Amino acid sequence: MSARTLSGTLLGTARSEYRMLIRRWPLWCLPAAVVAILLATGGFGFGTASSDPSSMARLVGQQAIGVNLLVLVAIGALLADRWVRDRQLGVEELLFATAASPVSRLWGKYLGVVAAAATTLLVVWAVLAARLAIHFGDLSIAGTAALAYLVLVLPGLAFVAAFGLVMPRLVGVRLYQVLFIGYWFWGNLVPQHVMPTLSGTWLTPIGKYADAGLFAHSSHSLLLTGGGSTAAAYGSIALLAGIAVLLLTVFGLAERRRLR
Amino acid sequence: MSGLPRLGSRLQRWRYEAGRVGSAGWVVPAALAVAGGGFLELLAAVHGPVSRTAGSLVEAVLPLGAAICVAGLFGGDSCVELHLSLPVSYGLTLARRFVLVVVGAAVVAAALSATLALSGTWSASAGALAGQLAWLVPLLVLCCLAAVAAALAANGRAAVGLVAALWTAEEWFKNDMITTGWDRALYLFATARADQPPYLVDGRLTGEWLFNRLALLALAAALAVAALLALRRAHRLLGQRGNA
Amino acid sequence: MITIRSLTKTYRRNLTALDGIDLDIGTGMVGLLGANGAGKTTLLRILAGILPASSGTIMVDGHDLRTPEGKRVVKRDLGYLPQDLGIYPDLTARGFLDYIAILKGMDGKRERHAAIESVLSLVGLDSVANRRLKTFSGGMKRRVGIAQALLNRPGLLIVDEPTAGLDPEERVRFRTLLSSLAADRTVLLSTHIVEDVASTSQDLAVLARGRVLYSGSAVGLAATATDRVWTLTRTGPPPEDAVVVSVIHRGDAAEYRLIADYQPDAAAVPARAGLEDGYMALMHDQRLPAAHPRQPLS
Repeated sequence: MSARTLSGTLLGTARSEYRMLIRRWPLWCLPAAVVAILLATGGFGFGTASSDPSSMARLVGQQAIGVNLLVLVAIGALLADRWVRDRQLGVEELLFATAASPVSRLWGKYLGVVAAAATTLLVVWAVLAARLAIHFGDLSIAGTAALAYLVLVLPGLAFVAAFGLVMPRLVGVRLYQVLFIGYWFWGNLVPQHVMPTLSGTWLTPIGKYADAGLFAHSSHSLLLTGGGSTAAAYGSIALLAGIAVLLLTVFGLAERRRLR
Repeated sequence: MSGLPRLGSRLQRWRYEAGRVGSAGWVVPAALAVAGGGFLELLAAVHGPVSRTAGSLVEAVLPLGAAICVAGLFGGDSCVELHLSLPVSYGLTLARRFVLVVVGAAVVAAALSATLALSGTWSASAGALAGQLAWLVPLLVLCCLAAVAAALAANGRAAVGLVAALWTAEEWFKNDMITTGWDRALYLFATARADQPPYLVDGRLTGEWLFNRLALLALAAALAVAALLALRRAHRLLGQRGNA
Repeated sequence: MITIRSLTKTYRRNLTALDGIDLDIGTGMVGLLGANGAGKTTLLRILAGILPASSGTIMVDGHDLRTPEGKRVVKRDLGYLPQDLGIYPDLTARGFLDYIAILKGMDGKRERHAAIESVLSLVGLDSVANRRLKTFSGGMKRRVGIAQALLNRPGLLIVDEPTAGLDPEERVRFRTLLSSLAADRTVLLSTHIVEDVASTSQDLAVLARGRVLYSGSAVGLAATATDRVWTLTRTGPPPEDAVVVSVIHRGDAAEYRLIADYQPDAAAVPARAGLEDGYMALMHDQRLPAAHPRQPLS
């Protein structure tokens, strides 16, 4: 199959997956509902932050962590079936009968899922950032918020989306959702003195290393293995992205082999 | 018609509904209990006492698994259109399946709780009977929340997303919740995850804890009623295959 | 007897599926014809109590379908075969029918089992009744579908695209079965396959874009195309102003069956009008899109 065909399949799949998802109201309402409930119950507060730039950066980072922790887990559960769905709806056979490579389709779906979820997260994040800007009367928060979106929110989404595509195919949607939520709690919130955990390592998916290293969130760095440096921040982001890529690559090859 | 054939048909109907719950609905809570138990053994060997973790397994993890199975009841039925044409309300059919999932999870939780108590690993310090409220209350709240969210959204996975977010938030905001007045009454994991004042004083669960449990039971009842009302428009589940 | 007056169904985003339907349906076999998206399935779902109507009235044997009690009474006497029949693949055919029978209120075990054996025999599945449904072919699943619809000996039988996916022999068998059932009940057969209606129904209604275009006898519909049906064999495309009913390619030439108000070509020969011709003529008269492409696919 030519590179042109492969890229066509990939982009075509990404486009159709994006269009399918972006029209679905749960992808909009669920993040909005979670944030709305938290705002109503006093979450995403301003704490003791001042309009000092470093204080602002810490607050922005903290709120991005909050979005990752609570909105990404909801999105991860919601989008837990985008690969297995084709079989449930009876279109898998049709798709496999085409010349489209399952590897291209998988990556296309992945890009479409990430793009759609990133769109709704961007809107939610923009609302939270605007709220901060209005409260502190400082439009420069937008820049910090944009950086937080890129280095804190998106890597976590990329990580979650990869597992959400692959794992339900192996363990079933229901069991995956249970394991994913349990993992989310264990891998992000359980401190290491309680039990062995990924929380506090470079594999913490909500971005604590990036937050500590890039947004100077010192309370995080105390709990992080090796502290919170800029190098560790980028290392964590790269590792999360790398694991997503590796998982999709291995799974794609396995699917191609299965369908030969 | 005599009562016996009717009783036989009713039991047979429950048997069929048990099949419609799906293997996940039965396996997931049991698997969590067994795997969790194994994990506790491992953790105890490596880290020492695991009382809190054991309590979390019963109070937080098992109810979450059951709630996810409840959400899966909505949108996963391949015969929805046929059911909607039948004289029996599809909403009540789903309610039966809900009861089966909850009862199944409750049996598993009760057995796990008893096993942990007998082995001395963990027990809710409120006596054998009242101590069952430790897992029963979050089980009912999370399952009823999943049901009402899935019924309103006509989308099981959206319901799981909402349950997941609130479950995680309850943990993240724990310190705020147990210190704020009205939040305190609604904190789901007040037994194992918050084994401290105002819920636990001198090793005994307090009246504050009991009030918390009763308030949450009332919330569960309200959510259940809301779910039943939402299911009066069960036709919204038509065409939702693939959203379980 | 079903009486429908001013029935309207509007979905979200102002999508009108049914637009002021008036229809009377008596005992016997009644066909419901229409293209995809005409509103047939929506109408059937409302009649089966699955969807609520937006406005209008439906009376079934004097029971108002808008009321919960009326809906309950109608459903007890209803057999419904949906277009998209789902099954529970883990159940056997007998188990599936037993479950549906219980849901239809057939509490007596003896009565229920007798009904199940009766319908299994009627649809020719008695020898495979203990096999799991996931092993059944498409045609066999359809037969299970009609079997479940007949369990409670319904006075109103609604079947939506019942012959979809069936081979010719099964299709004939289905039609024969449905015709025999129509002797003492109302059978409402919805399809876009004109042949199914032609073979079974004396009366029919044609829906298009949510409205009733025709309601009456099948003979009457066919008669609307009298003196308007032509056959023409030629090379190249059909005449511009004729509606193509069918085309058979024979080498370089094609044999067209056309609807036209006048002889469309000197070589065109008049043909006897059938139900499909009447349907196409009706669609053409209403300026609705023709079912067949004007140009053969290259």
